[in-house]
Amino acid sequence: MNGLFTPVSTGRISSDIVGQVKDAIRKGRLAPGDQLPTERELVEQLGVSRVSVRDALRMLEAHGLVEVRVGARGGAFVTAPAPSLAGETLADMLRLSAATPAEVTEVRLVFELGLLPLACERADDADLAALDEICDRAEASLDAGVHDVTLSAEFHTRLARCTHNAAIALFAESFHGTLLRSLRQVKRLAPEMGREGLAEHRALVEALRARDADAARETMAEHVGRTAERVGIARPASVG
Amino acid sequence: MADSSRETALFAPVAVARASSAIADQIRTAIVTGRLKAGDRLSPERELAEQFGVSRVTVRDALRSLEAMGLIEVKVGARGGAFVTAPTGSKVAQTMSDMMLMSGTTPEDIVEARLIVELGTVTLACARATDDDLAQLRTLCERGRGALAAGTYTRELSWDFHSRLAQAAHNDAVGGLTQSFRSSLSMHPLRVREGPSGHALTVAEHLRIVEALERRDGAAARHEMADHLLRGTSLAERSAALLDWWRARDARAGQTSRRRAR
Repeated sequence: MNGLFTPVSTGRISSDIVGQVKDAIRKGRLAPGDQLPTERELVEQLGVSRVSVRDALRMLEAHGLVEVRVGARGGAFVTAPAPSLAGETLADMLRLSAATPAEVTEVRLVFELGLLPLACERADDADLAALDEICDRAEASLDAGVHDVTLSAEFHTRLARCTHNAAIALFAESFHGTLLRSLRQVKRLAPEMGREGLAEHRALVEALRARDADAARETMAEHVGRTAERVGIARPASVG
Repeated sequence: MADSSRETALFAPVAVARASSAIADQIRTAIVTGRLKAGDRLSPERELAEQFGVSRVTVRDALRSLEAMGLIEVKVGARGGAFVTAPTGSKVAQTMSDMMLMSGTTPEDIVEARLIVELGTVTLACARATDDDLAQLRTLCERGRGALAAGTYTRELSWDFHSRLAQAAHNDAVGGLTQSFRSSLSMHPLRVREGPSGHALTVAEHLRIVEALERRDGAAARHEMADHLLRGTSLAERSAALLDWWRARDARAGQTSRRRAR
């Protein structure tokens, strides 16, 4: 891996190192699973202090671009970040920027309704089976007297993956965190929501199976709108 | 316990990195749930180390990763310390494009996702755009025309139009998403042959979108937006299901409103 990185000179040294590693990933010179040179090697190659190298690795780790493993076979490895981590980061940022919960819900509606024509066209047998299975688990858990709200978020993100589009899946994941928080609130307000929500999820799967985008959108609009109202967010304006 | 392999599985080595990410998680949660707000200063490193029962090095590692995530800013000097920040649009965009880069997302995937968002954006803008929004969008079109004549039109001007359009939707989350598309797509330009003739089409298409908004004609605005985003890409075919659905829906809605008008 000689010559992969060049010595850095001025400015914030660790940011420069991060930039170089990102660039190497972007150009395909580093791929997920590849191990970076050791700290000591990086210090030598880049002509910087060990503190700067450690800072850079920490930043790359926080960005989800490398994973630092400890132990004899340890080191810093390039990762393909899990969509859930990526989505969580984005959700945090969308939430922290000026957006209100009502605004996030509205965007969620735009997005979750918008993707349905694609999901209806592209959902294959494996997708439909996976959605059925999530509904079955939710039903079993309701029968046992437990309303597991994480299953609903799982359903929505799995549905987005029926579009077979990684960017759409990523955005859906990003709404996941917000969704989960609003669902926890809903559960406190209305425990019977679990049954109603499950029935709507089942109806969505049937619409997908029938490749009926109109029915899917109608069910989803009602489903998301009702959830929004229950958590005290105004039912989002019609988005078409 | 004679089976030593079971013993190995039972106890994992305690990683220093673990402690710092656990601390970063706690602080992150406090920020996300609003217990810590933008501008708040975190306790000094020494106090945090005591609170968490860890070394200062571990605290510093945690602060470093929060800084990398754009959640805090570390200022040096007498009035220094770690401050909670409100992440800027560009920071969101940077994170977004990093994630796109790493999750194997193709530029076509991004444009299709953008199509969904922008069709929603024009729909919302149609309902909410103020006179001021419309005037400013027109101004951007005029500026585009001027730059076109002077031969100085760039993609940035086109993005300025889309960012301003997102403002007309009056939803900050829409703005954040648009910003992230701007960053992730400027790294992977999809239309490779965006020459002067391509720019001229862009400016004309932007103007038609504004005209549709001025008439509060959602169907026309969506139609113009879809044509605009898909021109010169291979997506018209790939995303046909989406466009066909909108066309059918808008046609039905058009019939209904014409019946009502009669």
